[in-house]
Amino acid sequence: MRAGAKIAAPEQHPVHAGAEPPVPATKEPKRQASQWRAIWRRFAKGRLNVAALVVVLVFALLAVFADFLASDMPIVLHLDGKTHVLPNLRSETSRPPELRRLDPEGLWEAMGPEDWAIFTPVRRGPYDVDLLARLEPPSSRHWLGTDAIGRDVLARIIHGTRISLSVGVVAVGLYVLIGIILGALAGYYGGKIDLIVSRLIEVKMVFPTFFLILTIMGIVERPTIWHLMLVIGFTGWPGVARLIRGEILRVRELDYVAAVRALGGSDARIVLRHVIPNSIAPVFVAATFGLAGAILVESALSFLGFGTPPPTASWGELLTQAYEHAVTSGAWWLTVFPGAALFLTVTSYNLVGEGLRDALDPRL
Amino acid sequence: MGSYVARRLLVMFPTLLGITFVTFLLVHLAPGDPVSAAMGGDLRADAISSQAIEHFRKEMRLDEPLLVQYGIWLGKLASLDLGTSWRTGRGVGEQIAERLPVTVALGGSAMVLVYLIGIPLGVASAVRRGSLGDRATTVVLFVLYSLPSFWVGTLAILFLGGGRYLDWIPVQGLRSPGWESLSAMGRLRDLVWHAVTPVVMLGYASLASVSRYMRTGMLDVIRQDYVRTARAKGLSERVVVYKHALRNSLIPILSHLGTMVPFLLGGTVIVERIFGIPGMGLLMFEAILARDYSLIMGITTVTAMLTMLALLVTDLLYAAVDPRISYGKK
Repeated sequence: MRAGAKIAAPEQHPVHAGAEPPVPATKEPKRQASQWRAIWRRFAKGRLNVAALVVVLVFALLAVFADFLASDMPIVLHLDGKTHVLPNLRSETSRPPELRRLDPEGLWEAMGPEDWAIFTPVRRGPYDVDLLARLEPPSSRHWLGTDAIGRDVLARIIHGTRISLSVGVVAVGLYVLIGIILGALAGYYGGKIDLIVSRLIEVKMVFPTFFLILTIMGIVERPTIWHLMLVIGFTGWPGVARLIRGEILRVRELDYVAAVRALGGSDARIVLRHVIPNSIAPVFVAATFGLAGAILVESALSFLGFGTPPPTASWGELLTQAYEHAVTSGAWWLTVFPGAALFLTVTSYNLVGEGLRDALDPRL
Repeated sequence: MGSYVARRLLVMFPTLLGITFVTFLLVHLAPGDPVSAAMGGDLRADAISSQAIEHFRKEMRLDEPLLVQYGIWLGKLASLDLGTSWRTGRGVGEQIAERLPVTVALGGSAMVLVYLIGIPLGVASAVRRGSLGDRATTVVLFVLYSLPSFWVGTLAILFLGGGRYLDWIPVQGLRSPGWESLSAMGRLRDLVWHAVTPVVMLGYASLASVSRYMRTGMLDVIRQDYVRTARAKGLSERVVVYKHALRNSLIPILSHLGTMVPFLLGGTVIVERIFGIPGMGLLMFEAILARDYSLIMGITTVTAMLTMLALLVTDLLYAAVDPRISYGKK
């Protein structure tokens, strides 16, 4: 593993050194680039790692382009001599009047021989109720079946991806930020700040986090996904803070930090430009695992009824429905597909996290 | 040793104070009127006479400043009085005492099973490092670790229980109908039969981490010089692994014990809710749903105490496993 990193460096350097004169200012980014390349090379050695990364990217694309994959409106619609561009991005009320109250079937019937449209692959939105098609098993019309009020399960899974991933990303982003700030303060300055932060971390360790999150979400009057993001964000930071604190304790005694200090670098400069970049690697790993965790917490909360409020589509909310129907109707498609999406995402993030950890730390 | 335990118990108090205070603040500063929740959930305020509400507020001392209310709560706690549940009118302590054994039995069995399976699995993986068995175990455990229990639970209920597909497992509660008429043995068997699936659901995720920890710990130890010495002097592989290496590699596993308790407690909410098991997790779920503040406070306090106790036991076990660690003298 270590040898790989060493071979990678000489391969890179002669090429660049020949192309440009060795200017100190450009030296650092280049060294970093080759470092990242070495990390990527180690990461890509595991085929499972790459596969997991692909799954992560696919779900990210699903989340970003949800409206282009499942909507009751086409992407482009030419109807009665008028061309509507991207009606799928508009809400029911902001659409031109002639497009309101058109369900997918109605639209199909309203279209004459002159009209044309570019449809989304799934021609239903996550909220389109069809009471005539309740609890239908997978078919060519509804690829993954319908739920108890006839909503398309695939459309809801696709749009649920957006909810789950955005809760994960925002919440983890928030707690990584808080964790870095508090961890850096505690690790670099020590003293009272360290005492307070360390105590907080300890208290958090003995507190069943899920209980805390559950309590907060339970007492919020009208929970939204923003509450969820904030609650996970504000309860998740101790892990990151502990990591950063430990890393900074290690790094701040190194010679190069003393060198920066001797050159007159301010505390802020030392911490932001030198110490944090050198202790950030484990945070990336923690954040990747954290994403998997946050997505799980979101869906567990929604499953219990304290997460994303209905009718918002989220994987946990879909699974609540599935649970209610598990015994009564045996609608297996309600359980199998949303759960598989959740499982696949969580596994992939965990795999990427493991791959990243091994790639960043060649000693293992 | 005794003084160490006493000191540790003393340090618990500030932590407990912190946890209960945070919960208290959260619960009392939250929007959503406890009075209307206590008086029947969705009832609008104008449906009840404002006098009754006022009376209720006085009785529950909701009109006092928050700090005073917290003081009152603490004072009662000192005499082991956790207050009265607003929803049922019963004592919080009484309700917890009724539900706690169920959860402890559930979590305890899950924990014992996890260690009974996880430790040998981790050792076997470490000893045969890189073999097909090791790699297969790694993959299976990784999958288990990422499987959300509420999904697996729902799948189990859907496909294995209820009789629509199969009827192998019970889907609700801990007792079959007609439990009273069973013999003592029959009751026990019935109970175990009902508990198996929930225990598995609760434990399988921890199995992965325990056996991973064990594998890593074992690999660290097995590379050390004293293990090589033991081999060199001709000890059998079994003695080397199980007598010399295992003991030292148990230390990282112990640190895991402390973190497992809050994890299991959180898990019980979901598992008990799915399988309708009347334990503390379900009680917490009901309490939050009903905004039953004193019950939420009570459960939080008890779980925090349980977790801290687990951490203390962990530290004491350290000393038992590793003679280099001593809490006696400093």
